[in-house]
Amino acid sequence: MRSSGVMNLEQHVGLQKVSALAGLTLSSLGPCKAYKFIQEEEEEGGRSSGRAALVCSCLRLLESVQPSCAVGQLVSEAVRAHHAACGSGAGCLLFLAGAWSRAALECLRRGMAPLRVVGAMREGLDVCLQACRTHRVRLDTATEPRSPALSTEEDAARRTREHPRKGRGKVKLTHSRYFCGAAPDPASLVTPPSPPDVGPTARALSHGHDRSMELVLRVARLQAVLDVGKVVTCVVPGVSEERACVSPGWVVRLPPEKVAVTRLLSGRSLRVALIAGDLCRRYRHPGFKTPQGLSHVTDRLDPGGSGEEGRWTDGVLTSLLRLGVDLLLVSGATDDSLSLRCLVHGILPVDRVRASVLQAFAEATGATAVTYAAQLSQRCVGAGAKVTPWRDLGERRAVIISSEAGGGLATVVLTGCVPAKLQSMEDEFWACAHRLHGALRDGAVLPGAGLIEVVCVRDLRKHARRPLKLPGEAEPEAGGLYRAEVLRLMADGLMDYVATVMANSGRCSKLEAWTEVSQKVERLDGLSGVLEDEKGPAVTSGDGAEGTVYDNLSVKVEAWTRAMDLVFLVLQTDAEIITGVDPETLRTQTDLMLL
Amino acid sequence: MARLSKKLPALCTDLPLENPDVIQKFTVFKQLLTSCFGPNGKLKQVHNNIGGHSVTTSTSQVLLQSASPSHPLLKVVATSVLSHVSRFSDCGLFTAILCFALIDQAKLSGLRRNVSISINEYLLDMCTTYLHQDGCGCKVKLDFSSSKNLITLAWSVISSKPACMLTPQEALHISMLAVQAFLLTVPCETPGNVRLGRTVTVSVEGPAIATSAVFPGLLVEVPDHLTLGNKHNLQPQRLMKMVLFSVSLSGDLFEMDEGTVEVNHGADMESEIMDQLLVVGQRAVKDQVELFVCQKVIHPVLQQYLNQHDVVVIERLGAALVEPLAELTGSQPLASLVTAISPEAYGHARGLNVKIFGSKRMLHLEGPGEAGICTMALCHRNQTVLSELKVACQKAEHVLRLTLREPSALLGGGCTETHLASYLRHKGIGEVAEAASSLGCSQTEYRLGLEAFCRSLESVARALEHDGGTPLVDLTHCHHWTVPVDVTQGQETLSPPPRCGCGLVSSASVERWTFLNTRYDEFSPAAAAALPGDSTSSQPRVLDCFAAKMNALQVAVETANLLQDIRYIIQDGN
Repeated sequence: MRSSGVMNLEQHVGLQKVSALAGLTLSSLGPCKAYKFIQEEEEEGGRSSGRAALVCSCLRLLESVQPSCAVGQLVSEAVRAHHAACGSGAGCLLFLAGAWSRAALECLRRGMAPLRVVGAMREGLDVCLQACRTHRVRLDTATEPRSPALSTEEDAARRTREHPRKGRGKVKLTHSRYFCGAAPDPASLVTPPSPPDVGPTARALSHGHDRSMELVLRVARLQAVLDVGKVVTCVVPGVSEERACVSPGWVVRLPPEKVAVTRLLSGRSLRVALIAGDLCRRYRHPGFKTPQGLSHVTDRLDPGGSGEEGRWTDGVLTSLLRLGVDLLLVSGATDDSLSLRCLVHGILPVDRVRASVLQAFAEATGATAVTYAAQLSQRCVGAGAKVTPWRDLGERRAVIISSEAGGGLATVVLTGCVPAKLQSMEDEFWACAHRLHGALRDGAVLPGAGLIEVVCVRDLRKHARRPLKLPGEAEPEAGGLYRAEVLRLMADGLMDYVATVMANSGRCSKLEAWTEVSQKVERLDGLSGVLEDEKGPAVTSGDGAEGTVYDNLSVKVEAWTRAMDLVFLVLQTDAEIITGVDPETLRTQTDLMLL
Repeated sequence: MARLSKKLPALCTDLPLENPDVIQKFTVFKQLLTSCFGPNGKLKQVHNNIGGHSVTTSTSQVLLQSASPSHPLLKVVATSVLSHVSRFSDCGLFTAILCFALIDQAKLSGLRRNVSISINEYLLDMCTTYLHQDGCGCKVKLDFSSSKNLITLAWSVISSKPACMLTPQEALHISMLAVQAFLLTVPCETPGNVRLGRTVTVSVEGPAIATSAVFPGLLVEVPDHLTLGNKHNLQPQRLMKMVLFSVSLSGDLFEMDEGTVEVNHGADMESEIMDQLLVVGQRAVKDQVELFVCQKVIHPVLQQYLNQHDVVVIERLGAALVEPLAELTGSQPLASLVTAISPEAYGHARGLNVKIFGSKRMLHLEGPGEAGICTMALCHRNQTVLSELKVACQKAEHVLRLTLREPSALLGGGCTETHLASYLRHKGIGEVAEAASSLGCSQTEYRLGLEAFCRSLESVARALEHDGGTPLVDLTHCHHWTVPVDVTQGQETLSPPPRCGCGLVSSASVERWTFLNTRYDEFSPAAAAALPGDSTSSQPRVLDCFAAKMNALQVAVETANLLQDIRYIIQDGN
């Protein structure tokens, strides 16, 4: 029987839930993140394993906690969508969703209508986004080793004198498969200008993860232009963290019997075949329905029934040998006996290859990926692949697979003695890669270290002091009488963000951080639009090296907008309907009503 | 040994509308739907109790489909609303709210059930007649030479769904897209029987709302590695021959219902079928097909064969796109492999190019002629709001199509309801003697029934306000006005907002207001558009679909009458 119950939310439980979920991730905000252990409780039936995970990013935390309530689902959905689009900034999103939920709760407590709160908050968000647009730092100025200031003509002139080439050098962007757009300007391909040094920008975007960003920079140098779609990470446990490195091509760890074959192959130009799918007899492409009710009849006895299997293996091997394939990259699994027989014949099969790697090899070697081995023909086989043993880190089992044509693939080998931390380190590397890639794509960054938030706080407060109805404006603005209060509460949310990041760095307590941020806002209040050599309230981590810090423009704008979306969605929701409730269990719950 | 289970007796509820348990459920259900109403409506989160997918919505259709009530009386209301919405898209909540209000008011009036029912029917007729008249004061004739009113109509639908999370500018952009899509589906040069085309909606999670757009033709999602071969820089006008299969070309065996098929060992069924597939491919290549489309999966070997012969292959088109694509290109979907492809089955497409929306790659296909098929690509930040936006756009588009049948619209923002109530009071009081005698009731009963009906209409207008604002009605045109709650605080006199609910009347042109729930002397409300001096700015800002509202009125009255007429509910407990 299908039935529904209604839950009445009198004190706006939804906003409180968002705030509580955001509270979980307080410690994973800013450059100095704290690790959290998450342990699954062991159940009686032994269904869950009691596994523990070490997490430090907001995304992984939500993944492990898996909130099941409706609000939790909305939060997870927002964070997941943001991460898919931007690759970083999930913590910022969730914290502000929490902080602005508290602001909205406070508004409701003061008796404001939700509609007014939404109107005023939307206006406030516009003020913040406008501040981001005004104070963004263009990347050609950002690569200069100086603090962000809005460029004046004099500035520009001086720069051109000092670095005549740099001033003109356009930042070249690639469009990987994740960030496709217009085709690259052909002119810039014909006469490649010396690529501008992205080092300072990258260091300013590292947010305390200098080691990861250094790896990103090395990838960028290797690829000439950073293309995150062609970066692969390879994790080697048991080696100290300092020894992480970057290598051109694709570094992969193989079982010993395969490593033996690579010795025969190294130094030669190899012919490569690509298989998208599993390489075994029973595999069928997705969408193929195995027929039901089909029975095979025979008048001969087939001992062991292995004839079919053997014939298939023979067939595949014959065609591989006929085509002269040396290297077989398979995106799925490979049949064990086929794999062994390939090795005997000096063919190296590599399975579980990521789709992006397969794609890169297809481009670089001219091979075409096929689904079945039977489809392989001269046309599908590419040429010019290389396999070389990789001997760094004392690794005996890793090889580099690359192509003579380059292909732009780069592998980042991440190392670590603590296996539980490896996942976080990988996440950290990807966050840095996406930050730099995003900054190059935007062509601009925001002054970081909390400075842009402080500017927003100032602008919000200034906006709150504006008269409700300006002369010449036809209608009062959406926020109504409470507008100023809402904007101030929103500004407090941003203050809280900066203060929390500062407190997380361990330099000061939250209270001291608040004081410092408020002083900062007051100092800025005197200035007009321009940030003259202003530094943020220094949220970088401990060791005193306070360089310039930048934030990503589009990531911040997206995170704020999505946080606001989340608050609006929850704020405007007044009831939760639960479907499929059993009428018997309903009797015990008095706050539910069966319809 | 057979086991006997005792049969449970049926459960009978006498006069269900007076049963306190039923009344409580009714009240909650009413609040649930009423609180969703209008642009400031509250959202509802629907999810199951085991943490499944959750939906956030304020749309009656989505709400009632995902959370269907189990009580029989509520089911009647839900079914009426859903069947109305399935035909007219708009005014679902209006139907429910009016229906509940009629039942409540009838109860308050203390009239006998049959009297109340017949009076409601009589007044419904009066409403319908008035709304169809040319002189109707709450109707706007739509002028197809300008898109202004059409955009207003679409905007009213889209902005009444707050879960879409649109800023005013974004709502306007989406409304203009809806109108653009609608206009693309209206054929221009077809003499004789006019056949409307259709709009296909594609939703893309991620990119900004402003990147949403409308394209003539179809957008088909394609994988990253689609090979366009030498087709990517063709002349946009050049026609390409194409073929469309609705049968799976994945090399599946035929569908067997029951029983088994015995296959001789050694016979390879798959290669037999593969040979057949390749024959199809060879035929297509021989017939110079350049675009090969299949609703379902195409066997990789066939794909490879076609690619090698410079044929662009699109697989997994999906059932929803087969018919639009067939219409667009003039091809006939082929449902089997066995028959030879007849020449008429081939269609033509032009202008293959790849458009990129966020992470999705879409192949843009256009037809040879004017087929009236277009695609609306909607972008938004996350899946929850995107699904609501998709529903809202489809409703807006449907509402626009309904204007072709009846080129008028009703004033929105509650103004039609208050105006209609005022008209009914005036007209009804004027002919009270005749009406009472024709209905076979006393004049007092008739007056009570009339007042109940009018108050029900007015309560729909009141339902638009959720934040404690004060509803007013002016004593010239009888339009609906709302004074926001924070404006009334600390002020002795009421200052009405600058414009009425539908935006047609400005406060400068009105002298007297009264609270909506107070009695006022009945008078004949003036039509607002005919006002002199205000003609420059007298453009309504909120419009409702005429056909949808007419039907909603009918459904609401009929459902309310039906519910009042129910004497017993008998539920079988087995």
